[in-house]
Amino acid sequence: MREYLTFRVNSSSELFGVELTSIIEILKYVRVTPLKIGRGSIVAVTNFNGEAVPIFDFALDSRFIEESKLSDRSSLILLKSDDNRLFALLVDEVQAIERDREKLIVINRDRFTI
Amino acid sequence: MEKVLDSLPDRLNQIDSVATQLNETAEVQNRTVNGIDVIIKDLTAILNHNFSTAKDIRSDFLEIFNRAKESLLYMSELHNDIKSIQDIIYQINLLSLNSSIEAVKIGDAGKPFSSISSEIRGLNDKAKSIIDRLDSKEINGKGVDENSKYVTESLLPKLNDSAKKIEELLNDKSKPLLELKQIADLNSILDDSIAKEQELSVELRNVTESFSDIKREPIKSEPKKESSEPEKKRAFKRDIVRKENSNNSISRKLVEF
Repeated sequence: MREYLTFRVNSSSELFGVELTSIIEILKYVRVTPLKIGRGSIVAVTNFNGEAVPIFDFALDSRFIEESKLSDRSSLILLKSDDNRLFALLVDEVQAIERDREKLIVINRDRFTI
Repeated sequence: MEKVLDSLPDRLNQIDSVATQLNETAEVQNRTVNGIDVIIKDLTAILNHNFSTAKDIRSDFLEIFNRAKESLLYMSELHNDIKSIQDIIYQINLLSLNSSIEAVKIGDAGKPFSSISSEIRGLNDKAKSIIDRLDSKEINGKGVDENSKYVTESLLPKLNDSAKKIEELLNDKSKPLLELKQIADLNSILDDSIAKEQELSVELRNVTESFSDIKREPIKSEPKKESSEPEKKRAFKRDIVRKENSNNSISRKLVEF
């Protein structure tokens, strides 16, 4: 049975989920380097074990312009793309592990192009 | 001279009556002064009592102010502690989620590890629900945060203002007491003038009594010098007229009597 890590964005009532097997690690939001001219929804980069990891703002908003809007619950979900490249998703709050796919909107990692 | 002497008893009676009135007025004034004195004493006592009450209120206010400050500090510490615990709970959750992710990566061998993570998450969820309930505790429909804000921004400044007003009131203590002292001084001046009035009335009485004595004493006439004949005649006529007048006066008094 597949398991999904659930999270929320922009305090919406919708629950999103990403498959557990595609996740490398969940990181507590740390200081990142914002990109002034982002490519698509890539808003910043961060350092993970010496590797520059692009960060996608899942809500596709501009929260990085005003960092104060980020809460202490903001987290980065580190994923690996099909071509083994690391990237991170910025989410408002990770919740739990869910098995029931019906309860959430599943996000596929190939949705994000680096 | 005879006329003056005749009118003397009436005049003396008038002076006596004035003296009596003066004395009565002085007594009334004296009573008034004594009354004012009592009122001043009462007012001073009331003012002193009020100042003492104001002092008590100020000390109560200061106590409330300090207690409110302490409570605020406590609430603020409590709020910070709740936030810290919530943060720890969130981190434990992340940790347990990460351990579940690692367990999935291992495959079947990681299943026991996954169940432990799941147990940790379960306990963490219980702790989270307790701490969230504490955080959302409301007083008068307001959360801890809002209440702290209300106490800091509204209640404490109000208490501070009231304490300042009481302080000003206490600093002004000398003003009304000084005014009362001025009234007391005026009263004492009035008291002195009453004493003088009484003295004057006594003096007036003495004067009237001395006049009465004079009237009772027989009038000593100087021995008459020998006068010339026409002068003697004129004197004789005056005597007759005086006697007639005197007789008339006596008869008038008798009639009046």
